[in-house]
Amino acid sequence: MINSGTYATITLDSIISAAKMELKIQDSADYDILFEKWANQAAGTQGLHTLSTTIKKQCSITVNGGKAKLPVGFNQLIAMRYNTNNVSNSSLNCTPMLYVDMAFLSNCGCDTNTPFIQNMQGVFQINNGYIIFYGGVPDGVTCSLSYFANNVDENGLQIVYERYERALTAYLCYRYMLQNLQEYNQYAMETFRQEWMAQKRMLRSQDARDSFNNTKYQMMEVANALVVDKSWAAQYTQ
Amino acid sequence: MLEKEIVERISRLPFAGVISDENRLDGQYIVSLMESARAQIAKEVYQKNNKRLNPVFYQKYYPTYSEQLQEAKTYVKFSCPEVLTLDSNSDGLRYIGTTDCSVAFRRIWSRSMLSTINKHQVMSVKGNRYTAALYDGSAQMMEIYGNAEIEEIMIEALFANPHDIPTWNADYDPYPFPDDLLPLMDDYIFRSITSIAASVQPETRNQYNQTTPRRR
Repeated sequence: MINSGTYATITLDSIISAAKMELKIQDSADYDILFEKWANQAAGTQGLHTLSTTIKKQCSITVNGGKAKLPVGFNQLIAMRYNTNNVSNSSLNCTPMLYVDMAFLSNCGCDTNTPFIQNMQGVFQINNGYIIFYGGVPDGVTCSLSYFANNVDENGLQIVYERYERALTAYLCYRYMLQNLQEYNQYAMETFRQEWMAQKRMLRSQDARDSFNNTKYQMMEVANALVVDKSWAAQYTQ
Repeated sequence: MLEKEIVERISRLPFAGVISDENRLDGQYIVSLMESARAQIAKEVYQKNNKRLNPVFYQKYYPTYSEQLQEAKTYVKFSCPEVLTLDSNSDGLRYIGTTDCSVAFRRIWSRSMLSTINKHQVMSVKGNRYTAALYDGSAQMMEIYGNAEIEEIMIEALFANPHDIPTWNADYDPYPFPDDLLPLMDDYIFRSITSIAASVQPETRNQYNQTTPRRR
């Protein structure tokens, strides 16, 4: 089913398939390995690097040996809390405490001064792909993480939005032609390169515009609430 | 056309269509010439025709899984007959994948490439993220990486010898060569036969004359 909504995603194979059709090499899988590498590279922070290549995610991790492995694509912690199903460790059950990277969260000017929010420093540290607890957290305890991550799947490959297809296809064609210069002319190669550059710029600007609009709407909501609904606005003004 | 029809057609070529038991060419010899001609013509047509070949050239091969062939747990081996080379970038292997044609396995060209890609985090086949195929031409084996459970595959290729494919029956199935290219094959084989004939020096009067005259 074709789903061309904002969040519709496609696989890297879909991009490879499109590029192979453009290049008329659809009857061979000789270059598929290389194509996937190029597509992953171009779709991520080494290529497009749009705002949508980084997203907010949530997951559950399990403590083992005083540490827990961070999920694939992890970039920056937003907050962590213990899960409520830690039956064997009732002391950690439903702890009304959110551990945050205070320096990161308050960097934008937000007031994070509440009794239920605690700085993660003193509880755990993040080091080399692991959350390492300072002590007192037994094996098997699960925690929920909210974090910023590269928009990747469980294998670490970039998740590709449908709107990336044209840009990535052009990039794959350009790279393939670059490698097989004797078979393609300079004009065709340059055309694909220009298309890739133009599409990359467009996608970046689209993401920036969407981000701005989202922020703007949130600000407008708060402003409207202040005017029409003082009780609702109270939560923002406390 | 069936193989025997092409053999009959070619065997009449040097004698303007009229043959007898005395001048009839050996059938096996002609089949051997046909295979060489087919390979040569496929290569020429592929390179001239924007890397396209008539699908008649290709044959499907369904290798049988054999426990005795297996040597390691990381890959599965299947027998695969010799395939032709089309140009510097591609050989005659067109499709290696599942029997329902839903997944084409990615190609690994050599053991050196296998070693190289396994050093790269995205391209590596070690994580079983995708299935890949390596054709070992010298051993005539197909090695499938990334899926140690696989027991059925299909290979569509331009095989060097059509007789190597068990599902192809020379008596009933058309020879994997398009009819419209038969004149090219005629020409190729005719040249081969006549060049051999021309290279054999007959006993002529001149040869007799070259001997040293007797003295009386």
